[in-house]
Amino acid sequence: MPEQSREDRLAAAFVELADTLVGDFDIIAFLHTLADHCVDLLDVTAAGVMLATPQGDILDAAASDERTRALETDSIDWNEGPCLDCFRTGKAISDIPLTHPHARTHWPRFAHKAQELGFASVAAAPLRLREQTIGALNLFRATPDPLEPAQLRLGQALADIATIGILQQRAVHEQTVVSGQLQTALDSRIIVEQAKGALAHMRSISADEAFDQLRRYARHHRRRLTDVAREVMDGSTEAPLPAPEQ
Amino acid sequence: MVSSQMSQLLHDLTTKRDSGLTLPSARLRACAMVLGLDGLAVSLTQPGDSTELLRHTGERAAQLEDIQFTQGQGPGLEAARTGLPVTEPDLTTNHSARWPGLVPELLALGVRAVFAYPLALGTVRLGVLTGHRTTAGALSGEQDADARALAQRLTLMLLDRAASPHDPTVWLTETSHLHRAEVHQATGMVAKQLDVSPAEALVRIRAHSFHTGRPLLETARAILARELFLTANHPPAGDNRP
Repeated sequence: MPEQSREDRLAAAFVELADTLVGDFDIIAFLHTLADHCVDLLDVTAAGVMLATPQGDILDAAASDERTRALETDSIDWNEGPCLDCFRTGKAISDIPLTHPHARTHWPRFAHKAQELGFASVAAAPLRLREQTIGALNLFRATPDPLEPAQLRLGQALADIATIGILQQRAVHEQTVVSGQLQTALDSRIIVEQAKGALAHMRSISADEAFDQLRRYARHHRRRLTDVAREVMDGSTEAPLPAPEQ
Repeated sequence: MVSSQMSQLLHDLTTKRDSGLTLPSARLRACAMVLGLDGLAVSLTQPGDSTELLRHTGERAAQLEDIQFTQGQGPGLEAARTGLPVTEPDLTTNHSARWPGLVPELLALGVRAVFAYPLALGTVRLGVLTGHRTTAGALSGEQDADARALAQRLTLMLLDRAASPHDPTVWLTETSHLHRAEVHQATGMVAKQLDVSPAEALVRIRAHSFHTGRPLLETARAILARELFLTANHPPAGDNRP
């Protein structure tokens, strides 16, 4: 199979990262895709992605290989590392050698561990859209020569696409959930009205009287009015109807 | 693009919670005025290509919704279903192919123009905002922009639980007077009378209203008052017993 040109692979990566409005969207698998594309398209050895929960806790969500995953986990445990700084400031971190004073001062344990694992330098790009930073992308290199700025810009572009995709998917999901709840609430209300009419016929009473009986029954048996109404309409034989006296 | 008057109204809609009621009719009436309309109605989508009326500015607007509900067709239902605006600036020139049987009823009601805007966000279709005029004529560019802005704001209000002190599901189920409450009560009654499903019962009620030309709500009230009994036969010609 002819190997795709880098341009083709890059284009394919962008398309794949933009395609988040699918029914079975899996955020972890998606972030793994981001990490893998970075390793494939950028001049980096490994990549890791951290993602923040809605409550603000940061998680090591994905990594391109096992050693990087372990390093990201340690970073969170130690509460130090370029990925965390990037997430908290919302600002990218340019390629820094792990022996650099900044790395040694700010991330002593992380820098040491990363070097042990064979990495020589690190960069980070925020997963950010305007004022909202939802995570960070860590990029690792095994060679001491610096990552070109254009490479970091490309990494940022991949992160940006991923971020927009994630935020859109979350918004649509939330809207779908709320819309469903509105529908359910309306359905429940309608069924209660139907049950009033049904019970009114069965007992030869008014709809208002029927409503009273339904409510008293629900309260007495600590059941939801909607559920009682549904049973009246279903005519399910196990459900005892409100006794006429109640 | 949105007029300053509509901007102000939209602002009031979302910031002023009049005794906890989301979207009071008075505010909706103010919107109708700015839009140069004689009435507005907000309906939510229901399964089976139907809608449920939530808020309206007056009797004619409510009837416009009820007639469409009865017949199962109309500009509002179409907008709700397709997610696209549906407008008829002059019903007198309407080609009868579109909504056959509906237009004469609307004209008899005094409606000459209808403007239906979907309440939708992406793939989420919540309902429809339907405006009407008793004189023919299209909305101006500014009025159309205002109407779209209102529709969008209503959609967001319905979806936005965080901003409202009252969860929309609560104001729907507990504090809101459902315009068609009696229709649903009558549905339950007829379902038990004829031993049919509620869906079937509603179809018969709607058919009776359509064939007799009697407004839907009136038909429902007659059923509840035991003045009208729908028979088990087709066509559903009602049996008026004293």
